[in-house]
Amino acid sequence: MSEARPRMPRGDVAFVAMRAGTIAFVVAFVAPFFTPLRVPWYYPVERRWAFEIRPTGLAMDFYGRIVLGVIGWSIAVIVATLIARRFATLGARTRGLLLAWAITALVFAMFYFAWTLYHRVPMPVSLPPGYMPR
Amino acid sequence: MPDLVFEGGARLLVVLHAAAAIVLVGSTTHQALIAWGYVRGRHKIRLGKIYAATLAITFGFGLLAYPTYRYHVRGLYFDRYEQWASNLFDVKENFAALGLPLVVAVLVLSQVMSPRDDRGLVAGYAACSFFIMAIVWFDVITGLVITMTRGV
Repeated sequence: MSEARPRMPRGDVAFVAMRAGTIAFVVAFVAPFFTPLRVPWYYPVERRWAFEIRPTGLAMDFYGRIVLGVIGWSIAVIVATLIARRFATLGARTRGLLLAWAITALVFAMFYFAWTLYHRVPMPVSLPPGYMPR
Repeated sequence: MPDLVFEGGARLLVVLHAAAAIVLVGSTTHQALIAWGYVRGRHKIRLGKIYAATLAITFGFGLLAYPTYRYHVRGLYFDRYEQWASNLFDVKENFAALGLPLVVAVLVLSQVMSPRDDRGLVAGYAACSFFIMAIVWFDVITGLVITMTRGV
């Protein structure tokens, strides 16, 4: 009879999975700004979706980037859970590094948005004929 | 004028969005205080599920009202006359999205973690809670400022 291999406690497995998920979500959420990546764009005026790199009119990529982030998060959580279950313990150093990487990814993304949007000059859409402000 | 999705109910959606955000400010602050209690060795009730649900409701109303905002408020007005508000809104929305994995992390950890026994996880749990609280306070304050400038 072989002894059952000790398994990492559930709390530690969840911690690893959530930290990996956070990092993956952040990377996937900002990735379209750093690399040409097709994401779902919603055109509110035409009420249609398009899967493209750059929009051709007034469109929103916010929904699409959230979907991309959730896909990245899901993959990372599954992979991290499978890997974490192969180990018996989670060392304090690994735990601290995972937390530090997750916080670094978040802070980087937040600074990126704050910096780029502070300097953005938005292009207004043309006013429709007979436009009366609401 | 174009007919946008949920346009007729956009004002109601934004009011509900704001009402849920008020609850969210209180709940995330409470959650952060509970997490601080964990760090200091005080163990109280865990309300992760309620807080996650509140955030989901707030975020959901915001997502539904977003198309109306994007065209009528940002496209026709902010981008032309109040560009700072247009940019601040996008900062706010992106910050809110970045908080989503943290909320799930707090929810999951609150279900599997024992604050008394898993002392090594408490710091990460508290960090998530404080991050969420900071994002929510920032989003609610900027959201009020933006809505005062022009609402849907």
